[in-house]
Amino acid sequence: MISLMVLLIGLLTAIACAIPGSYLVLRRMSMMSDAISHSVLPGIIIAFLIVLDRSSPLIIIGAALSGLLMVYLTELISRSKLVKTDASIGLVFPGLFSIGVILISMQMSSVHFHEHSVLVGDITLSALNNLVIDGVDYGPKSFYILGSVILINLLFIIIFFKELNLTTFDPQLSEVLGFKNLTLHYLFMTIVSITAVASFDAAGSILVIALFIVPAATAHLFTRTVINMIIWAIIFAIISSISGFYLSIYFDAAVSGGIAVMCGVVFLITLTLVKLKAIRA
Amino acid sequence: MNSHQVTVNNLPAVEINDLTVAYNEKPVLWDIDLSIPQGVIMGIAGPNGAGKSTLIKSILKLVKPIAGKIKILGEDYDKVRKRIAYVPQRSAVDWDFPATVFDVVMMGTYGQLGWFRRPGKIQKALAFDAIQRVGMEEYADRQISQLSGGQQQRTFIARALVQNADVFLLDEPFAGIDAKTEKSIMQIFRELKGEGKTIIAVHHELITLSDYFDMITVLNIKIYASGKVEDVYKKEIIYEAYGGHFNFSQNESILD
Repeated sequence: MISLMVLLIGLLTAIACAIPGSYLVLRRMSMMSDAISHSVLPGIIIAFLIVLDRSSPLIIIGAALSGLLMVYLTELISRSKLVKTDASIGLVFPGLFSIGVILISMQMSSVHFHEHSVLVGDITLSALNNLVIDGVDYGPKSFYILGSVILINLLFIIIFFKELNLTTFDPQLSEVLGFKNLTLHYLFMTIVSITAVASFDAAGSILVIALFIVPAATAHLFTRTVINMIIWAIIFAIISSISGFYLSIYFDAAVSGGIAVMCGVVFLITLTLVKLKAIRA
Repeated sequence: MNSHQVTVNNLPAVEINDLTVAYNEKPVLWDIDLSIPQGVIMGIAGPNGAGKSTLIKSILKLVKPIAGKIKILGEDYDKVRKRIAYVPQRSAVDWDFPATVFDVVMMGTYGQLGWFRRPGKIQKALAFDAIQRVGMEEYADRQISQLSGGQQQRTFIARALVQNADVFLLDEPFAGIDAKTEKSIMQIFRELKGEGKTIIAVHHELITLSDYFDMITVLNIKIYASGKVEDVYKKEIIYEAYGGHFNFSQNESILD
């Protein structure tokens, strides 16, 4: 029963990440998603110290804020034109991440936040943390959090589909036509931050980039429209998370590791097929 | 000209006063005064790094100037936004973006639609008309990564046509294209001019300058000359603006 829960949490996490992942790939922001997934850590810890409940929605808000702080600081530094964008990402996120790590080692060595689970996640713990209201068990809280995040991500992409495509393909024309690229950028970064936090239990802060980027990059190899790319990214996320789960059971390894490995395997298989001109969508 | 006689139609398409733009305190455009009348095909010429693209981007408010005023059709940019079409350099976008020619041309309708509104039948019909006008109807469903340089450029021109603008600003529309595209773009420019529209295009190649445009602005950080081709396309002006960057031995014969 627990292992089924673990499988489902991995599956929902992979789906949640694959949706914004498609635009992260198209906007060439892979590094930004990595930076965000690290920078949400101090937000998670600080919010946890306040509410003392690991699956409280307040944690998501706190973490999303620290993710956005990273995006803002990065913009601020790169706008000075003294350093390039990638360098300013590299300047900001290790700082925020290290604050998170220091907070963990100071405050909570006895609580179930371990450096290890921060890095690669601890999916089993979240599968055990059930939502209980008036004595009735409604299953793991993660289901509800991840389900909401998937819904929010889908809504975001449906509502802003035209604007996202325009600013991604031709940001200059987008500005000229009167759309606010920066507003959309921050909205999108909020979505990525929320998703990174919700995925934290299942993937930690290192491996979540695999879930964001690899299924979408795999879909980008052969798809011809953005919609198809998103659909295929979700399909690859499903395949990788299920097969990765069984892989990790077989090797008795961290589930997130198994999923990340399978993401890579699916990418390599697809790349080979595309090179052989076997598939097109 | 007496100012009280000026009607709306006589307003310049673009009027620039004392424009100065700098990147990191290094001036890219210096004290530009330029008036471009309506209904002309104006080429902005100059060597690499002359600030040609920056001039276009300043008109479009994509670049923030240090000083200066720019009026388009007598108004601020924000008021006449919907009457202006922009074609960026082809290299400014990622042609691996998963979209078809039709998808890209449709983007030209987004300005009229604004936030949230979806394109409908009217927009689709407009997009198809524009695709036909640039001779790309066979390629409407083609993936943009599969297009040649000329086909990419025609896609961009179609996207600008969809905007149904009065002023067209284009960045290097003739760079790296085939003869068919060149002909098609020239014909469209003339048609647009016939409709009273204004075309302003950055162009770096000197040899073809007088074929494409009926007015020329010679720019190299500051403006060296601006006016009708026959008045501006002269050796001493070009030489002065291009300085050491211009190889006369190859191009001398085209200038008198």
